[in-house]
Amino acid sequence: MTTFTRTKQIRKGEFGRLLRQHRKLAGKTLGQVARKLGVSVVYVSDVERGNRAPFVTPRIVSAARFFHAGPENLLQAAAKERGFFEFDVSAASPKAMQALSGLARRDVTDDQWDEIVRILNEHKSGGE
Amino acid sequence: MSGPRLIGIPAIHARSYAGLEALAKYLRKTLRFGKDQPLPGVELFENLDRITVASSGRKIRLEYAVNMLEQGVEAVTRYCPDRGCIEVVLSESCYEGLEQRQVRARFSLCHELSHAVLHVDELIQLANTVKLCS
Repeated sequence: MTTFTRTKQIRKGEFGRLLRQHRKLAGKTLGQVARKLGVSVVYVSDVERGNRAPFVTPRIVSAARFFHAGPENLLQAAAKERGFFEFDVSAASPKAMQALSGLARRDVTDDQWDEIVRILNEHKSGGE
Repeated sequence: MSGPRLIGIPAIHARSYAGLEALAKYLRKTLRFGKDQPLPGVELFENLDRITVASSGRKIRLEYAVNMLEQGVEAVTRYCPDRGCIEVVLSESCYEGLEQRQVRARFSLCHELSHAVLHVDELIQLANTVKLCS
C-alpha cells in the first residue's frame, strides 16, 4: 500500500458524517454494517462519530457496495480527512507504478488532471 | 472507562404529567413513530440524532453511540462539551440485546432517552462538575 497527498485541508468527522448519511439512506443499521465488514459495532460507531480514522479503501468500497452506492464520495471524504489518498499497489504493473509515482510528485497541472479524469471517464463508460 | 464513577443524576425539578405527555408526543412525532406503535429498539436508538432538546434557550442535539463501558454498565447518557451534544451510549451487549428485541435492552435505552430529554440541565451541570474535578 502506498499513499500520495492531494488534499491539504483536513476535515475531521466528515467521513463519519457521510458514512452515517449513506448508511441511513440505505436503511442499514450499525450492526448490519459491522457484520458486513467483519468489524465491531463499537468500531463503526466510533468511525461515524469521527473518533477513529476513516475506513481503509477496500472497506469503503465494500461498505458502498452494501449501500448500493458509488464509493467516490466516501473515498474523497476519507482522503480529505486523512490528507492523502490510499492506493493498493500490490498488483500494480510497472506502468501503473510509473503513473502513480508521477501523480505522487504533485506537479500535475489542472489541465493534466482534466485529461486524466477524461480518460478515466471514457474508460468507465466504455466498460459499461 | 476511567475517571470519576457516576452514580446517577438527581432530578431537581418536578414535571407535570401533562408536560411529560407533551414531551412523549414530541418524541414520537420527531422519530416518526405512530401514537400507539410499540417502540422499535434499534430504530429508536439510531434515530436519536433527530432529536434536539433545549437548555437556557440553546438547542442541543442528541447523539447515539455504541462503546465499551465499565463492566456491569449497560448504558450511559452524558453531555459532551466539546461536541455540544448529549450522547446516549450503549454497551455492545446492550446494542445486541436491542437487535434481538430483548425487553431489558429496550428498557435501558428508554431509561437513557428519558435522562437525555428530561435532565438536560443536570447533565450539563454534571459534565461541568466532572471537568472541574478532573
